[in-house]
Amino acid sequence: MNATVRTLARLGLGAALALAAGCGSENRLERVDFSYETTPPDQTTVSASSIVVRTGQAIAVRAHPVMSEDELEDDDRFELRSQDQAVLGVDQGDEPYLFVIYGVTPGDTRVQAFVNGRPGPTINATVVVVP
Amino acid sequence: MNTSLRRARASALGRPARLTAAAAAFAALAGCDASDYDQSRVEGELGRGDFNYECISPADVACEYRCTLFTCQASATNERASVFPSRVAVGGLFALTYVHEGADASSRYRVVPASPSWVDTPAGANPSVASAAETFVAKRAGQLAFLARNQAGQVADLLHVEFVPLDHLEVNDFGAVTAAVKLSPGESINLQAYPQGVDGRSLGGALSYAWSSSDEAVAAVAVGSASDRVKIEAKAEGTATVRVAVGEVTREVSIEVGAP
Repeated sequence: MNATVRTLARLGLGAALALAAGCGSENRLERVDFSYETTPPDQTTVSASSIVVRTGQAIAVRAHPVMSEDELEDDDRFELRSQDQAVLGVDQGDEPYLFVIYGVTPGDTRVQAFVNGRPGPTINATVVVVP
Repeated sequence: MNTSLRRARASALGRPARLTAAAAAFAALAGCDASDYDQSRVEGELGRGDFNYECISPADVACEYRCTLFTCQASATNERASVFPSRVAVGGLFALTYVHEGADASSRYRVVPASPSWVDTPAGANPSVASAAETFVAKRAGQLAFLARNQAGQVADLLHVEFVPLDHLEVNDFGAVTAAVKLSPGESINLQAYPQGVDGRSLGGALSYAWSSSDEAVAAVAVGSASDRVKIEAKAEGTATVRVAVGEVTREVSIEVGAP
């Protein structure tokens, strides 16, 4: 077997392994963009990379999940969860993709996105003290 | 509710008032019913419905009531406020409800603070108002968001309310601001205290007022059903100082009782 044949064989094996593992066909949640549904209070920002809220204050946001392949379907379930609700509250609104984010106590935590129960990216969150 | 009315609605955060004082007075004259011009509610920030400020004590300047100038309303309890106050005094007791636009009467929404440590929630403080009302005592200065949750726990709307420290008290004889009063023996006058912030604007929330007279033999103090107002009775010639206090904040009024 010459070198060319051996190379092709390795590539074929790699492709087969990748397919077996589901790579290349997975519709992954890459990030979550946000738009504001209420006017942000002072010092409040919500973005794909960070969340900053003052204690006691709240903002309603609409989440825009960015998928690696196809957009989510109506029957897909998208969630945002705070890893520490005692620091940052994240509650589902009364519409899909609508969330209310609020500062409970000062501190740091993360917000994680889920699609159909599968974990996606996390966003760093900080709740700052009101001066 | 149409869009133009929404835009015009009064807001807890200082948006334009829907009803002017003149219009309120007009409404009162027109039958003591200002319900068509209800300022006791403000639209939630998501615009899904209204937050209502419920009166749980007449000792709340926001609950002075629709017909104060015309004394057509005897009680300010178990009613909505005459106006949703733009600010609530730290230490003030108040209650909120939420009504979702388009929801049927059986729909219940709970109003909860974003940060529970900002308020006390006295149990049983308010048995007379609607059972859905949530009662709070403001504990610290700043803006606190209140969330309206439906029965599924979803947040339907939100509203920020500003808590402001009590700076001083004004005393009013249902007319001008009063610093000194002259009476003849046998006469009386009604006084009411108004809590104000450092900028002189009145603060909502029921506070606990303590009234006293330096000389009850000259000017006797009789507290009414609301602790923010008293009747001062001139007993005998002389001078007395009537003092009202909320915690460390006090105000004095000089009462001079002289010959008629």
